[in-house]
Amino acid sequence: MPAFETVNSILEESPAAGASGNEVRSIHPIANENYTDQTYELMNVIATVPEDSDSKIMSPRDVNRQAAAMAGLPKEIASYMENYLQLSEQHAAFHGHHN
Amino acid sequence: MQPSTVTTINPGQQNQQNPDRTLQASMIRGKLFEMLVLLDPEIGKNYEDEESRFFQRTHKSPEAQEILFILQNPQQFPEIYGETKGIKNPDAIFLNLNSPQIEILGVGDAKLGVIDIGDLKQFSLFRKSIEIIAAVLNQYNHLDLEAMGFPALSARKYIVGTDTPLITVNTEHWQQIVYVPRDRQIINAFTSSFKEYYHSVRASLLDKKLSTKKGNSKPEKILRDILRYTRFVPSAFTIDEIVHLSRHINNKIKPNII
Repeated sequence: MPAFETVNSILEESPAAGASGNEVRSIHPIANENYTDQTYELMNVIATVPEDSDSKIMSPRDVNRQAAAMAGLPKEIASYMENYLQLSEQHAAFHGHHN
Repeated sequence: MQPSTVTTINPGQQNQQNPDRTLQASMIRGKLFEMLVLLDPEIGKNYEDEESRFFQRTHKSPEAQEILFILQNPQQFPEIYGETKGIKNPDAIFLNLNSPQIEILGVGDAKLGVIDIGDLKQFSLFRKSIEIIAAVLNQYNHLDLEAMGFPALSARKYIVGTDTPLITVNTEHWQQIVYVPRDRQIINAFTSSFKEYYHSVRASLLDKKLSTKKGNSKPEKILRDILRYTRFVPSAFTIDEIVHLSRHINNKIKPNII
């Protein structure tokens, strides 16, 4: 489906542009039961990135593929990253560098 | 993987004016890109042949996860740490699991930034690293592997028996897949000549400081060698998309954790 243009324009032009979670889910054209509030929140972030600003892009944005990947992220991605950074810091302190 | 950088970041020299240029932001970008590549339902489908579909089925298997865990955390295993110093760890590992023996076919990696000397070294040492870890693990019986916390490897070793190596490495048809942002201009390796493919990778991925007019610098020679068994494949996300997602996440966590 020529999905992204549709989704992107809907998200940019509709109330979903500034919404997240359930608000987005109720109107989102690619709603999926596996997608969490966080998935929609991150999709909203991507929707703010203009796609046509860079002519180098060789394949169109596939919002379904992106959403499927983002749906698999840890439920609290911010907390996960915080732990990851703390562990990296401990590792770097032990080994003397960031690996 | 190495912390991928869109811009060069030096630890301890963080730019307080631009939060995207801190080491923390850089590490979040690299980690997020790696996670999204591994969660991508299209991973492994970039090769339109039977082997690629096989890749897709095996990289999330318990056997692959256990071997990958050892590669990424050798310091947690005193039994093997001394023998695995300096090994390079990929983000994914692709296996042939058609028989009780495990055949390692290749590895996958995610690379958000341009390719620098460290990356070239990493890509060229993946196979050797896998051979080292296979040789180390082949020293153990199923009880050792169980005790070390690898039930899937242990179960296969029990079936294979003590006289047969559990893990082999397909060095003859070794393959590496490196996933890069969607906006890198990489042409299809299967519909272009090696020369065309090399030039597209060099132009869009190799750190400009490593390129020469004649194309005969050491890094360029290493890149040509790596390309004989490595494919650079576009992921689902552009650099800009990863930057925006990472910024969004970074805004939710404590500043200056690292």
